[in-house]
Amino acid sequence: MIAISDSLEYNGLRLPNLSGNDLNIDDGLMPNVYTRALSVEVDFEFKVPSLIKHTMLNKIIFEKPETYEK
Amino acid sequence: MKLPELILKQIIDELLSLITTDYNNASSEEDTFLYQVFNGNVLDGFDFYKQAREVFLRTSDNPRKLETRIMFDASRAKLPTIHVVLPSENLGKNNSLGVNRSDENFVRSDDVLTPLYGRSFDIIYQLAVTSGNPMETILIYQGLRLG
Repeated sequence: MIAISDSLEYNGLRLPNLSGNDLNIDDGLMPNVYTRALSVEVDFEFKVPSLIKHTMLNKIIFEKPETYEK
Repeated sequence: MKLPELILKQIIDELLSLITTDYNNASSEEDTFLYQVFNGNVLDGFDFYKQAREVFLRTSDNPRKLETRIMFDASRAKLPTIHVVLPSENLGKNNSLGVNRSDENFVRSDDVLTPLYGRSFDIIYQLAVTSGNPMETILIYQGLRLG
């Protein structure tokens, strides 16, 4: 993660911070399993389209009123 | 939009692939990433460099090949595995007030405009390294952290 930290940034996982700790899984549930975790904290922006669409105004029509008199 | 879990998994898979490529293409052993990171580390007869070559250079036909999983895969916990899990996710610091219109405001298709909304999140992923061997777990953890 240190040597390829550029890849995280280029792929949108911004400002990575690393930390780590051992995890102790209940030996009764998973005997003889050894676990250590590397935590990667990143800032990620989700961009989503709205479900509400807007029809675009693409023309303006001027009409002469029927009651119009010069 | 690609989901961040998938991006992270892809980056880890590429990292593991790069370590193999780096070792196979190096002109001398001393130039390899594995040598420079692990050589000289020995504890109670466990030679980290020798074991790193064994662990990181395994091919697909080896059942103990190091693999990556999304979420915690208990069925692979005793095998060398990197599980991508999500202990916490919070609203990020770089958000505007209101609905946070994205800087690319709209997607246009014919006469329909679709607004784009953006929200940043401060995400903590845990890359949980599991194995049936404690020294192998430490070895993979260090390779993953430094790689």
